[in-house]
Amino acid sequence: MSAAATPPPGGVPGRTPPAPTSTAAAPAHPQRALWPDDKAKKRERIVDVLWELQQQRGFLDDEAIRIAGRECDLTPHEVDEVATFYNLLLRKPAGRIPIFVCDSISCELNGAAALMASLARVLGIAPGEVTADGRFGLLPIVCLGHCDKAPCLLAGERVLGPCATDDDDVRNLVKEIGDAAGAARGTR
Amino acid sequence: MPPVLLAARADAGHAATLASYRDAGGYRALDTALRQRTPEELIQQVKDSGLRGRGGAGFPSGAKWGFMLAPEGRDGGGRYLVCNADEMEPGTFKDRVILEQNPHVLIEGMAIASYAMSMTDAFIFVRREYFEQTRRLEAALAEARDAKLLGANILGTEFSLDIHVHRSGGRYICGEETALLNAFEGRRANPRAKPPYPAVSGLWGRPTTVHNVETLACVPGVVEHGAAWFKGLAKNPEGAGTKLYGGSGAVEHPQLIERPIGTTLRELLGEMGGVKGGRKLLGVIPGGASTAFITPEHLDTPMDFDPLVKVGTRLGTGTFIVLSENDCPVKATLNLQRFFARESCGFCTPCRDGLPYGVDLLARLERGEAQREDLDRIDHLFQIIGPNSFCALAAGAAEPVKGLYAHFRDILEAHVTGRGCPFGREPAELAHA
Ligand SMILES: Cc1cc2nc3c(=O)[nH]c(=O)nc-3n(C[C@H](O)[C@H](O)[C@H](O)COP(=O)(O)O)c2cc1C
Ligand code: SF4
Ligand code: FES
Repeated sequence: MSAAATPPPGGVPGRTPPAPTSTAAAPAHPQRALWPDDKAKKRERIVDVLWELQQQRGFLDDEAIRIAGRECDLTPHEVDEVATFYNLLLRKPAGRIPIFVCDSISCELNGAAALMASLARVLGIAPGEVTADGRFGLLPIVCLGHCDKAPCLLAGERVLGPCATDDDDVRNLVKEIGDAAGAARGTR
Repeated sequence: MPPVLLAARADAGHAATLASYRDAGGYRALDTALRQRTPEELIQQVKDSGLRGRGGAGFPSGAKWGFMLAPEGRDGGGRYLVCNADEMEPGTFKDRVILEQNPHVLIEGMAIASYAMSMTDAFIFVRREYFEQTRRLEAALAEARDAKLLGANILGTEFSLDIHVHRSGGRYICGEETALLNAFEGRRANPRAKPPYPAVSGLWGRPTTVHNVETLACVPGVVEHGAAWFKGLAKNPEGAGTKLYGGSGAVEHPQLIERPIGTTLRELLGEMGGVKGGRKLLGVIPGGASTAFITPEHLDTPMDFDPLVKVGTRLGTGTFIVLSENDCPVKATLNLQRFFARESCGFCTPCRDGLPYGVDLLARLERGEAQREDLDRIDHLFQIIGPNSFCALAAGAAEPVKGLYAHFRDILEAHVTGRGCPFGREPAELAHA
């Protein structure tokens, strides 16, 4: 790295500051509302609204789609185009605590398949299923952006990793996930 | 090298506060920009700095800002800056670290960019999986508003701006800038036809610029210390700035580090403890899932846009994935293709139908059910998917296959002659998808 990398003290020398900028170049919008109109603002919120409904109901049933439509001023069809598109929006029950296991490249190279297999054994379900008590669901998901923590998973609002993949470690992990979810909901 | 993007280091467990960001020189550039520079001057400075987009394509940022000088779309209606924090390309985790450690550098960069392009409003599109990161970002935005660094009449000038965070639902295609705009508006996130480009018709049909998190985070440094300084940060003559380099996969200490752009893979990998378990290096995917493999002979290539193109790959996101001698590149490519097939938005047929066919052929090769003709079939398929598809997702999917054929012919052949993967049998994998 050359000495040029060090910023000169006091900024760039030899610069004569121009006059303060004109208002024509940068019109002020102190009262702007960010959205062009109310309809656009409502529609922009659709994923947030669906996410909240999913937190309350566990998954997005048809009634949730209708409620979201009323809230965002959309037809159920328009809502479903969005609801069926995203990895985190669930149109089917996936347990009160869905566990999303990353199976993309960096996690696969670090034991994602073993993690998924161990979770399946510990929970007694296959990926895509829900435990008999309806508590846990197990789902694969694509890269969680935590490849430095591979293998990792998403549970509640936390990405956990790197996860050990022996059944004993995974049993403790599942307990920890369950306890944290219980604490977050103020139940149990 | 003094870190630039991650200068105000966070303490463990939380992001740099406004106070610590300011202690490291933060928000001086915004003050300079608003009080001493015209938008035209700032755009020229970004052009001179050589800054190129960090979202994957490496488009010159100054040229992109220049598109916004057009007289059209200056009618008092919205003009929007959208920060792309979707970050879903496998192997990529760099923007996350900016949000986690130094969100103010992004906010400052967005405010300067908005002023330079005469934007009325700015938005950040972030994947929902970044729960903790979004909390830190929102906290930083609240700090900035309280300190009059955002809102009406920023720092007592005529310039006003607010930044609103939009949280997505998790889908790779939303990172493609026109799909992102549809997602943002609350529509199904299929890409849009280009032209018109977002600079002409973007968010809600208004002039829009979409930038990656890291690109915007480079802006305060350019403005505070100048274009020449920014260029001088690079290790190679054609480069500019620093780069967030991430290493994952078969790496001893996977992590993200900020280094001068043009640092070699040998140096970066060395700093991360080398290949996991001291094993031999087989190959590297240099910049996320849609870049082509390189091999140990390329270890001394500068990790920068042009030098990597010369060796048949791309810098992409600069977050590299390492394969050791124990990792089968066919299996790795199969994993990447499963990703692309799952994340295809389904809008156009070559991608929607072609990618699953590619997955099927590669899986047969891994299992030992492929014939010799299938090798050509795979090669041909991935050559025609990209140019016949509607957006760049499918062309990106073809890149790792291109690298596989360029460097690992012998391993491909061995899968046919040896009736399956020669890399030792894996424990029976769960079929999930
Ligand atoms: C399928 C696909 C996914 C993409 N995902 C992202 C992403 O997550 N983040 C990003 O900044 N750019 C992504 N891009 C690139 C964007 O379309 C766009 O080029 C970029 O945000 C521009 O920012 P830059 O000029 O700062 O690089 C993606 C492109 C494609 C085709
Ligand atoms: S190439 Fe794939 S992701 Fe892009 S529009 Fe076509 S189907 Fe959608
Ligand atoms: S590959 Fe699993 S988090 Fe990126």
